[in-house]
Amino acid sequence: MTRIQQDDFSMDREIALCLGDRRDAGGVATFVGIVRDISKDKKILKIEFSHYGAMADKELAGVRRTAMERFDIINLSIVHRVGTLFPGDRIVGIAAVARHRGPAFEACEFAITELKKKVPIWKKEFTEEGEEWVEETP
Amino acid sequence: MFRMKILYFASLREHLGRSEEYFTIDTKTTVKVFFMENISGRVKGLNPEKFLYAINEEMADADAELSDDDTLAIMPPLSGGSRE
Repeated sequence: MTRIQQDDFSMDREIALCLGDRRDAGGVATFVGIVRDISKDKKILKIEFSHYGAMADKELAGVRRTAMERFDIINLSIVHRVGTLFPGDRIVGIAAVARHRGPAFEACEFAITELKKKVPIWKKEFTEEGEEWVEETP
Repeated sequence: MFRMKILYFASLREHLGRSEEYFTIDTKTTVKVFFMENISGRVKGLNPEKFLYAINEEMADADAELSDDDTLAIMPPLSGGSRE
């Protein structure tokens, strides 16, 4: 239910996978992160996403596990892309299935926030003025 | 003698021009001391407190002790993103 991949994904497929044959589900909340064409007033040409494969898989699974424990949800799926992406491309897709909408929305928000804090994926923005890693300056 | 594999990621990988290195050190040390003695001097302005670390694919503190055959990953801070 968590994946990191280069290929694009379909949210319809993510929802179907997440939902399975559960008939007690009352809703699915989704979040899709997309490459913006502007960052700090600079025009984005592309973004390269790189990751620490083994750790990223493990941490992403951990985010899902924590969300499943913390919220009253039936299922949660997270897919994140790596590689070179262009404005308009999907980056990350999250689907949370629950009996009621409240926990579904909460789990979705929790998952994207935790993912950004914990999963070792870095991005490098390429603009018309050059390239820059998006991270706090160490 | 302690032999360790060190992995570099993102901007640090670019600054150092390599993705991994092997080190052999004489005495046991912590992540932070290893960083100060072997990495800090090679790139200007690096602060070990700002980096994330993993030892053998488990997140670790800067005060964690390194052992023989460990793989230490030194990871720049994550971008975090913005909710607003």
